[in-house]
Amino acid sequence: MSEKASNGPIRCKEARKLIEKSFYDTLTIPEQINLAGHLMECSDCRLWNETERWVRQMARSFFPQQEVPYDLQRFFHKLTPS
Amino acid sequence: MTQQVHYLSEKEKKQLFNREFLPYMNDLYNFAYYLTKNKEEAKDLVQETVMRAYERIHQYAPGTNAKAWLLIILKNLFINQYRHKRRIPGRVSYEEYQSTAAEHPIIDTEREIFDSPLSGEVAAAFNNLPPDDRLIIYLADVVELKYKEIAHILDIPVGTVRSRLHRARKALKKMLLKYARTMGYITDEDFNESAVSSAPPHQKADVVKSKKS
Ligand SMILES: [Zn+2]
Repeated sequence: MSEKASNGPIRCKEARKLIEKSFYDTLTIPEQINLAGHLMECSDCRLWNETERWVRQMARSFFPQQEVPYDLQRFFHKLTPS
Repeated sequence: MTQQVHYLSEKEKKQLFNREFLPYMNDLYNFAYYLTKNKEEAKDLVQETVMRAYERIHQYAPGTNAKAWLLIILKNLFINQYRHKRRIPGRVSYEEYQSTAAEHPIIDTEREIFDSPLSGEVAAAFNNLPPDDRLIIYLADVVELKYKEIAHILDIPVGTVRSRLHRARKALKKMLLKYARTMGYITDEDFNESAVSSAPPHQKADVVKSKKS
């Protein structure tokens, strides 16, 4: 668990930064390897990763998606008839 | 590598529009609705955005991020028309939009009222987050934009996006975990500072240990 993490190439704090970065940026190959390696060893960060994904999913539920109105769809098709 | 398109026939313009822009009409409409909180205004805003994008399609580099490109146009139009009440579509240059956006880097979100399906305490708590935080969460987690794209849309540095988003997500997570604890989904033990802070407690302890030795 946590004690294993400190032996890995990156520590929990860096791993958690990479988890966040993975959502909003592209991880480099070494970053991907480091993160995957750390997650294999550290159950705390695996849980963290899952919680972060859950937060992301929950965030979406605060913003109900609206359907594009029919007349607007018609406008798009009128603009670019095939 | 992508190349800027300079000369396009009407047919090519339509093909490019259909291929690269049409898939994002849903995102565009939802962002417009997010900003205006009004279906009719959102529709008008999207129509104007699309016309503007279509007119300037030669400035778009195919294969780059069409979604971000469209959202920037939409946001700038919104700032022009809805914040400054300058309803003169077609007469305002893109450069003018940009300078307006630079003067007002953060969208006016005073009008935001969320009709979230999550009722009660948690929705109210979410609405209590600062408007900037909600906007950045929206762009990052709902529209699924990257740091760089958000920076373009909000006209702020990437580093600011990163830190602001980190802060906003931390506040959101804390709020959600608190709610989950109240509802009995998680225990008091699960809900502690280490659940929201990216510096785990055992690493803080390691630091203390190494300082002692
Ligand atoms: Zn870890």
